[in-house]
Amino acid sequence: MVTTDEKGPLTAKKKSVIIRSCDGDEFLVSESAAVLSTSLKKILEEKEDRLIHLSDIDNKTLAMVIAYLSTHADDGLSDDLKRSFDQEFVSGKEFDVLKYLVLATDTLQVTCLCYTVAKKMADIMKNKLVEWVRREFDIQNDYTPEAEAEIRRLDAWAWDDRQLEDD
Amino acid sequence: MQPPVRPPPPRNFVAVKILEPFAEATINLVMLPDLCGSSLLLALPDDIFSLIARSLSPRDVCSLGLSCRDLHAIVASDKVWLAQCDKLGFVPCNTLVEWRKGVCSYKALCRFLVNIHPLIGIWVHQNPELGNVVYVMPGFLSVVGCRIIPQEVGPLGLEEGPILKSNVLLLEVEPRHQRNVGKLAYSKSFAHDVDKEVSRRLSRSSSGISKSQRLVGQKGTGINFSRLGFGDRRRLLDVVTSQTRLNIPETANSMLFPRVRNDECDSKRDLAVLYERRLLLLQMYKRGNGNHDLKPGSESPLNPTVLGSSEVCKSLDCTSGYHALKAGDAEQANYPKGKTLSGFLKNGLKQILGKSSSTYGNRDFQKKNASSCNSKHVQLHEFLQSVACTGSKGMSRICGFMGRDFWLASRRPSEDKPGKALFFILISYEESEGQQLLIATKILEGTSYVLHPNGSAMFIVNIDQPSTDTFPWGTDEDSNHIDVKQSFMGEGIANGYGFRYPGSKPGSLFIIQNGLLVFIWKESRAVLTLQKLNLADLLRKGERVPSLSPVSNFAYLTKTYSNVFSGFSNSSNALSSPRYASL
Repeated sequence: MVTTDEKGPLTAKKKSVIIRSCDGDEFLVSESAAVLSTSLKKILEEKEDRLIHLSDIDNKTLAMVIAYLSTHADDGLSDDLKRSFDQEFVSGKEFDVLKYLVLATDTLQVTCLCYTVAKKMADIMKNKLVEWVRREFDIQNDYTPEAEAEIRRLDAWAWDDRQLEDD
Repeated sequence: MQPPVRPPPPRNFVAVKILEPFAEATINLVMLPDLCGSSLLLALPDDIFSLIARSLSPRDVCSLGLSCRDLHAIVASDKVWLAQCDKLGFVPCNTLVEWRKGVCSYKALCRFLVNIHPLIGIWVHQNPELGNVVYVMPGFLSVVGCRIIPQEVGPLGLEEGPILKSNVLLLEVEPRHQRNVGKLAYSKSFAHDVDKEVSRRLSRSSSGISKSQRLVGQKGTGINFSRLGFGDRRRLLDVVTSQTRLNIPETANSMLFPRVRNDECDSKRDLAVLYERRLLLLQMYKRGNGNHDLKPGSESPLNPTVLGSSEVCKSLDCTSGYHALKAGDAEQANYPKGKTLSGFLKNGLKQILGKSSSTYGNRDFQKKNASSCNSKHVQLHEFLQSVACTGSKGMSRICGFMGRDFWLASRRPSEDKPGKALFFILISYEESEGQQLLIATKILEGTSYVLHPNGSAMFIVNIDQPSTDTFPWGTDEDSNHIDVKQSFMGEGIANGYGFRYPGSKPGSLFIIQNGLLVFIWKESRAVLTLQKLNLADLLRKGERVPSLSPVSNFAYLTKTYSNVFSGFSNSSNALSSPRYASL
């Protein structure tokens, strides 16, 4: 890594961290980006570790999280730009991808991304029929028809007038 | 605008080798299970699931629970439902925690809150003219409707002095069996007659008609409650309430919601009293006091007439309606004495029921009211709708200084009333011919007889048009500089043709730095000062009084309440605010 920092190459080294995913891929991340994750920040404060191994996060997910962290660590970007980046970031992603992402952000304690992703997951699940839920998440209906009817009856208070979607 | 997306760093970064040797740290925080298929949602940690569920509606959460047993167990968690309760937003979180102790789950609590949601807020009945403002607010695991009595403002002002009120409506949540997940019960107290105070309670039968059936009824042969005749509605309410009322001893009604306390011990004692009262009510309810006809869980056709459930109000089917009418006649004969007042209270109730079926959409009514050119009954009904809609929706669009939870109270020290009558004025906005209008509608007037009917627009200003008038004073009574932030041109109410056809005279509205609104009539120099207020807090601090006894003419009461806290202070108050009082 080449730097123009006047404090010299030693400082430059200190300013970056290597993060290794569970499949062994390694990412060089600037320290300013890494500390946006509370977990990484704690590790960096406690030890002078430069190589952090994340045994739970695969390379695809980690790449996404790091892209997010790097963008948010960039002081040159306005808050508006960062917000629109967030929207772009989660849009079009499949539920499965989002789920790994939300778990990774939870592990790494990147709160704002965790919220954004959870919100996006909720948006996908909003206003959906039970049938959609079962199909989408491959859930076997283990209720007897009577039990299902009973639950529907007990939950009737929560129903509103919205039209539910099946796709 | 394309957001700058940085490409992810290249994989298998070669430079890594050069940077070694570094100590290696490993994070092993969560074992990620092998997720696929149905375990996709189940495998999410509790916290994350709650986080997601927070953005879902109660219905979405129920849909998840309906998909399979495992998910049902997960979404039943208190964490998920506490978030749902909190999201509804009209009961603060610490109160929710307190309420949770009285019900079996947060889900039960949420059900109660969803059911009462349409009732919460301010209710105004135009008839009688003289103040019939009911503010419905959360009590203690209950809903309390407080009638705000026309009164004068005490020397301590609104922030310090108590406000008088009497309770007209109580709704209580009742957890019956675990499986029922909470039951809505309704009780209504006729506080006018201490000897014969009657509290009424409607309860939703757990075997009540399901929504789908009700919807069929609504689309098919059902009659919308609000379309029933005036008398029919009253009779229907009569019979429903008579079927399900409970007598509650006066002593149990000493406190209906926690008062505002500074002392921790005091508020704990309050809560203990409220728990006590609630237990008493539950016991009475189980014994079926005062009503031997009530069979919880019965299939009576009246069961769908549960208050607080909007579907019910929308669709009462024909047969139960007729049933009710017959029985209603008989029921009324039993209470000849209380007829006037109960009729009046029921009218209020009816309007509350009516609200559920209102669409919240038609804001033109406000304007019609302003011009006061409609027949009495139409105006009354529409006025209610307009209040409902402005109360729920309209208050959000405000030029940056008012929240929708605030209402305005006004003191109007004018030349003919040098006192401190308490006015409640509702601020709403309307667009008319491309102009943004701010309309101040009077909903309560604390004088012994009213000058203008309830629902009159006290003033209408155009918020696109700054006023050319200057604010007459530079300092307030404490010689502090008054900074006028904004001013608008408009017209204020003036004596016109008779009671119902007020005229208007030009004036200006000034917005002062501390949030006060001042409307000044240009010619008469009369002043109307408006102050934001939090009605729920005021009522918690307020003084409860029994209702006035029934009278036939509400427009000209022979008996009124005067706030004793204002009685001795007329002169001192006038002195303390000479600036406003002199006008």
